[in-house]
Amino acid sequence: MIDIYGREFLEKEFLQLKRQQVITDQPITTIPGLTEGTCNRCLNDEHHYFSTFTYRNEKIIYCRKCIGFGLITNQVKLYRIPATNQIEANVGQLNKDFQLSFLQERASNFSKEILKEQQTGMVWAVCGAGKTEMMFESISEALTDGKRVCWAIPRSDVVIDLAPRIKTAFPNAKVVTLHGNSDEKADYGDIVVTTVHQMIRFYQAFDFLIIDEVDAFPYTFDDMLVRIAKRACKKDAATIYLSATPSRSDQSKIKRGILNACIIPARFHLFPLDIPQYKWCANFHRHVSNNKLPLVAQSWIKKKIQKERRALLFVPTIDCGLKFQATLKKRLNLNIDFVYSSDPDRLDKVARFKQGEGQFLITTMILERGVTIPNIDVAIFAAEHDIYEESALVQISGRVGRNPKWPTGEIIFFHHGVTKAMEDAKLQIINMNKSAKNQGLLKDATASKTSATKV
Amino acid sequence: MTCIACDNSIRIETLKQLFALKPLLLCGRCSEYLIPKSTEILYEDNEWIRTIIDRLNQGDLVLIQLFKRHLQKALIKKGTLKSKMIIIESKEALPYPWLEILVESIIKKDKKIIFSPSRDELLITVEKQKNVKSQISLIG
Repeated sequence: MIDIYGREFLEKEFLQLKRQQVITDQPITTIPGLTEGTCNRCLNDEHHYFSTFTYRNEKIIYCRKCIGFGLITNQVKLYRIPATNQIEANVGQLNKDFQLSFLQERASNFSKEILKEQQTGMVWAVCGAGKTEMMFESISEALTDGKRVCWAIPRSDVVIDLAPRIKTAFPNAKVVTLHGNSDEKADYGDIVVTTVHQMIRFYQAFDFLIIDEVDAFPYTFDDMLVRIAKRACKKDAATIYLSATPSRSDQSKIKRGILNACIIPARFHLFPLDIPQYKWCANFHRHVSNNKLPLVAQSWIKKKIQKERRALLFVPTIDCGLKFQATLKKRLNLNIDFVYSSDPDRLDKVARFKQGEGQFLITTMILERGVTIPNIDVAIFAAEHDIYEESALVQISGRVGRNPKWPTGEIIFFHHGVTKAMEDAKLQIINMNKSAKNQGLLKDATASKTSATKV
Repeated sequence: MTCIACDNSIRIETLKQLFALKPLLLCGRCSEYLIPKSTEILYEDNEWIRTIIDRLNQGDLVLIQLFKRHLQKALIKKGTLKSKMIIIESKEALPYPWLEILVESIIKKDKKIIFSPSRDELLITVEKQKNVKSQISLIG
């Protein structure tokens, strides 16, 4: 079903939908593309993002900020159709196998409260706490009340990963997935799982917005995405931000009481987070460039082979990863896959590693978030590199110990000098464990019983 | 100053940049990819310039400034002063015909310009007299 309500169209799209008789007599608001130095689509008002040229003696001004979504000039119009929710009665029904732990209930109740009060709040939950499941009950309530839901994520890989879980949890709901290569861009969804970029298509469409990984690139990097997300929601919409590593600015707002937050310092299985250890290993990139391995790294890898422990091996750059892969082949006769952003086989390689193929996987930051692989250790090589900010190191460390059967693992930062980011990341993890212990939330790592099941 | 291609700040790294008479358009990194060739093929074809052309096809016309100087030299060398007609070949269905706008911004208003749609080529043909033509390709 083609979705036109709560949407904004350029003239070409609008006329096509009219020709197809999808748009007939709906109320339509027409506004100019640009108004007094502001783009009405991305709400950019910064002068240097506008440019001009002359064509057939007419001065054309256009917005460079949102040009990737089509050209907006002083001569074009935008067409908006107001939202009318078309949510059926049983759509909010949750999959009956669903059950929350008591900690997840805490965050779930918080988000239900935020939804009810139509406010904004943050769920700050450690990696592996089960943030996704924490949102399901509030989504169910929203749908039952006839409210349309949007789950926005900065990156398309995570959108593709998340959508099936939401479809499983809400079997009666129409769930559409939007990203750059999606073929559902025009489809209606009761729940829209989308990259933040794709929200530009919507205008005051959603009643409940969840922004996952709110501290991740590119959401924090680009003001336009923040504006787009706000504009896609109704004025009285409720918003939940999800993060395991909120920005310093958000942490400060939480401390000062400006931003409502629910902090979940423990994982659903109640075992403490593993604390990274440092191992000095000299200049890693120089070593692998000369087809050598630092002794300490070599010895660590050999130990893992001996103990048959699987591990993710993080490298800071693609160049470093390729050299590392070649060096491991030459020095230890190991054939290890390497995944990176522009690797066309990355999804396949990650899927195979998840299914148990291969003892090691070399990766760049693409596996920093959103991936759950049971019973693994993690090593970060050249951990002193600028690319490893505090949040990245915490997120990478969070890949370990996510499964209740294997709630612990080893995290090693191989470094050539401890950085502030490394210290801050370690401190954040220690503080979360402390907070969880003080609240009596942690169990002994030797305990075998868990108190929750995940969907 | 910000780079019109990548939007990063332009760092002055050479004396030439420091004493440039006109504002710099590209940062050091992007300017490495805009490689002038000759007056028959203006610029080297590479991934970077292809993305610039894609952006021009989307309507980001500020980027035509990148090609202006070198194209102007090429057009003068091809004798546009004495030419009767200039034929521009580029894609038809664009928000604005940027190659035509680029050429119009360089040559005098009394020249006749004909726009000819083409799938992939970016060609400018200068016709001085009957059957005397010379061609400029933007990239190759």
